[in-house]
Amino acid sequence: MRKHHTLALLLCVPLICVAATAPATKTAIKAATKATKPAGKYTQETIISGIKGMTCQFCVYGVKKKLSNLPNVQRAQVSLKRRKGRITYKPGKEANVKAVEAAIKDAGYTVGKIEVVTKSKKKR
Amino acid sequence: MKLSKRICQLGLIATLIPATLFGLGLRAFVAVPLAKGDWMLRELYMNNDTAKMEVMMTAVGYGITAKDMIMVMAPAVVKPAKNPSISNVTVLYRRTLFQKDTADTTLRLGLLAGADIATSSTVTTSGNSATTKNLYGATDAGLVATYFKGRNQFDVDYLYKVGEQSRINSYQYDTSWQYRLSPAEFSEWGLGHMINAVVEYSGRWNNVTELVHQGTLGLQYVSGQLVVEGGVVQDLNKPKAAGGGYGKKATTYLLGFRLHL
Repeated sequence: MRKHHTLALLLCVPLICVAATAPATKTAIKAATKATKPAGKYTQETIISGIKGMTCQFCVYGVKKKLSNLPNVQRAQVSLKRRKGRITYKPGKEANVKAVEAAIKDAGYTVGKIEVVTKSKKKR
Repeated sequence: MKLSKRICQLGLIATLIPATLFGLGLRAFVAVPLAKGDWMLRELYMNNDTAKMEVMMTAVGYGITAKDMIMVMAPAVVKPAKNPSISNVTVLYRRTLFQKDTADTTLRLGLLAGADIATSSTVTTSGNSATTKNLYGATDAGLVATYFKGRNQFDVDYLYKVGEQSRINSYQYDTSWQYRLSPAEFSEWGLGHMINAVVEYSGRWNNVTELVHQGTLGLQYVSGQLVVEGGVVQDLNKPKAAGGGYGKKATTYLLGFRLHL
């Protein structure tokens, strides 16, 4: 019986130690990050553009490839259902409407209505 | 091998070769675009059950601009093996002349121009003498149109080949209807999958076989940059035979894939 207690204690001690130090480590990392990044706001711009003339997934692939290769683009999505493209730029980078228009035309399609959506986010 | 027999074989290869490279017709050309700087590869295995002939066609396309593309098609005879391994290579240029895109429809017209380049020679026999005779190329010109709406796409093409020297003239026409079986509605964003049914009515004409009308039924699976497809082409009338009379109606099986690079 005493043997079992000793074994249980031996197993519990390291677990308790880990549990106790983990939140402390996380807090330390967070604090360090806060200290290195300046507080403030940044913007993220997204272009939503109509794309006319797409007929199949092959077309979607071609347009998506062109839009994804544009400079400073974080993510490009194309919807065959909506006949639209959604191009999200990297945080702090300015959206380039002309480049998006040119990419859609280079892919062989007609550019529809274009709008630029700007989102402001707080830096941590 | 007699020249007339050889011409018949070439005619048969010509009837086997599907015209299209990309888009979604199985045998028809299409006028939908290939993006500037993009490549397309198509491999298609064709088995003509009646003539016991197997052909593997490799086609490569390149988008020069949004309106201009060039494609090269090289059919290789797999069976019977004693025939030349590569038949004439076709180089075609397509220029989009007219394009009208709306939110859910597109209409495009294109011009086709190019050449068949002779890449092999054949031995012809006449009586007791045998001579090597080069195969001749051809100059190609044609038109292509595509209309798309909802779940339907229609393609029409016509291509005329003017043979050089002793090569016979030929033409082909294709009408193609592709219906999207699945999905009924596309997902909101991103690449999805499509299954299309393909119904085509085509014709292949040359001086020897005259006009052979053909019906095609097929299926396509489209997923992003890949298309896997298969179909059956059935001659609807008997071709004229070189020595007189009529040949058999041929059935050809197609199986292949396309890759958008």
